[in-house]
Amino acid sequence: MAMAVAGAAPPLLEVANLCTYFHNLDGTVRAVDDVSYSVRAGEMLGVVGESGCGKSITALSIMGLVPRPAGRIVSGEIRLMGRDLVPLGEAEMRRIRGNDISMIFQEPMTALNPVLTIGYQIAETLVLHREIDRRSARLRAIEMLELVQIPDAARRAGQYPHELSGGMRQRVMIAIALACDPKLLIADEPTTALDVTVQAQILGLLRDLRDRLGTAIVLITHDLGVVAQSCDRVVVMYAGRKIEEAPVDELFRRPLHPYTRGLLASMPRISHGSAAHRGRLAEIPGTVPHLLDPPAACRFAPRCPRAQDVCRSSEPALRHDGGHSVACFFPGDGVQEIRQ
Amino acid sequence: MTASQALVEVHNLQKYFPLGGGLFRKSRDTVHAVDDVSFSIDAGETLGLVGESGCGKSTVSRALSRLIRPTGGRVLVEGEDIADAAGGTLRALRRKVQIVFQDPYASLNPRMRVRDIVAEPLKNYGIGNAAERAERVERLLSRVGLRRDQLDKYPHEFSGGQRQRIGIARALALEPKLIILDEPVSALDVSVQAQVINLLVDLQEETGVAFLFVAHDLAVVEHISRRVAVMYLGRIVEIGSRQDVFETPSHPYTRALLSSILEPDPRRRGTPTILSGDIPSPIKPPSGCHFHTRCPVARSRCATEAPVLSEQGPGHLAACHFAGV
Repeated sequence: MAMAVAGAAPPLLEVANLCTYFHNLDGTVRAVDDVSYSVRAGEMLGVVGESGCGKSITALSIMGLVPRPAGRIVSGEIRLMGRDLVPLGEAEMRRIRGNDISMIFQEPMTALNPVLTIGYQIAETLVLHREIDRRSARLRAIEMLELVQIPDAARRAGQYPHELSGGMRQRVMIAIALACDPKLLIADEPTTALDVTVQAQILGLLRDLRDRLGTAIVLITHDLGVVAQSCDRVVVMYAGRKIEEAPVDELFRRPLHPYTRGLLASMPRISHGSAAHRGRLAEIPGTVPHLLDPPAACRFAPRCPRAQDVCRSSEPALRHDGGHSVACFFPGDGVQEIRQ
Repeated sequence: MTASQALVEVHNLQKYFPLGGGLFRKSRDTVHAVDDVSFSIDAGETLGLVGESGCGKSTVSRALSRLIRPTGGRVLVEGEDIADAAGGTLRALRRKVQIVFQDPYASLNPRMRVRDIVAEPLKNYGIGNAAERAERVERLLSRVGLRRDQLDKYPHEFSGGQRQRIGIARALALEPKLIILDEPVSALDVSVQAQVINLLVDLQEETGVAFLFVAHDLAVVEHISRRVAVMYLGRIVEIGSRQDVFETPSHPYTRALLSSILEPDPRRRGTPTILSGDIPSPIKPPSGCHFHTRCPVARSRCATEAPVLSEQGPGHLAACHFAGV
């Protein structure tokens, strides 16, 4: 299923040592702190973490959409096919957004303009980025609606967002995002607001489009189930940092970071007839920390069952073992103990 | 109250909402939010209620707590019909049935300190004197895991999980027989969800309170429920023990729901039974079986004749002409 060729071509997107901070009166919030990851052409990368872990701010940094003036990319590089996007001005970023990189969001209703037809909104992207007249743009819009499997596309193109269901709206967002045939699609919690049966449809559609068009996808989610079912590789973030990265099978078979292990153990699972998983869920005590001027220590240490003195006095660097990397002084080594 | 009587019995509950209309205009459409729903909850058990948006699960929970008045049917709490209760009877009911909402912040008064929020129901029902109430509030809040020094804080000073704990403490204050939990963990981070679920399980063991656990997350429902009811467009399509519903589901909708669960295990990467289309509008629900427009096994009979709940096994009911086929 994975289309990536290990190590051969340079990555499509490289985020290198990215730091995006927010400055306010109380101090500096290190929303994204020295995060690196890369996406290969045609790959589906999952970025997973809880609220405030920096997964969405990393995506907004890639898009050049960090809210200003409070937020700023302080250091690091974001290379798209070798070209660093960080120093680019707004005009240049506008040419890249929607053309080379597109993004879809959690709530498709708020991302669509309620007073314009969906056909118009798809065509708008094309007129903006391609030398194309309105008529051909409109025809292409209908093609796009067919591509995302909206039945009766020609009629639907004349409808307004409120006439569509949540699942349909998300399909329209995907159609807009893919209209200019971007190389990379960033999907930020694309199925979180949808019902479970519709969620399955949308994830299936994203995988199908990736396979057919070769668009690389960064799928940002809090749901390890979504990651397990759709991604090739996973980055786990916690409190502004990347704490683990591995191919999807490897991560779920051999999670190394205590946080990843805790997350997996705390999820209720369908028992498939066995009584094995029932009983108490494993808890991660405490809550996600504030990122305001964090101390130089492992940010998970206050909640970590394995934390020692060294975890509270210095930050663990990422250690690499093949394609699996982890930022922890005392990583776990096996899945046994998390199942208790 | 006889020994065999259930704590809550719901018979043919209906709730219709008129749509549109205005001062001088008659409303034309009606949302059939809940259409002829019957079930029961035993003392001390957890009934999970699952379904997708618009299926009526929240309307059922609001009718049970009498936040809304049912259009038809009966809701018996310990044998007493509460559907038309008012005044003193309704007040007495509310002591027995409490509710915890999905959004813990929206359901706590931002201008009240936590200790006052939890004391309010006690005060309302004139329970104990000020000192006794204060002591009980401290006990409740420490039971749900709040520290003593946090009692004088305001809701905005707490995280989502802590706020949900406050909501749970408030619901427990009157020692109710039933707590309705309407999506109690779906707004919480995964690592915090487990804390709240464990707390609920412990509290049930300690107090014997029954739960109606309303949620869309099937894995959570399977974990916490003894029995499970599945709703689709205002009707219960299947109800039974946890094992019945999760291991031998009879209704094609239940089977589709179960196959759409995204398991956190890449080795179980399945192809879900993808249902075509979206959930139809509850304003004009499809004729016959509401599910026939999306059902993979529907035949012509399904479009004309609404199936009734029929027994698949002891205590296991499904509403499908071709159940288990």
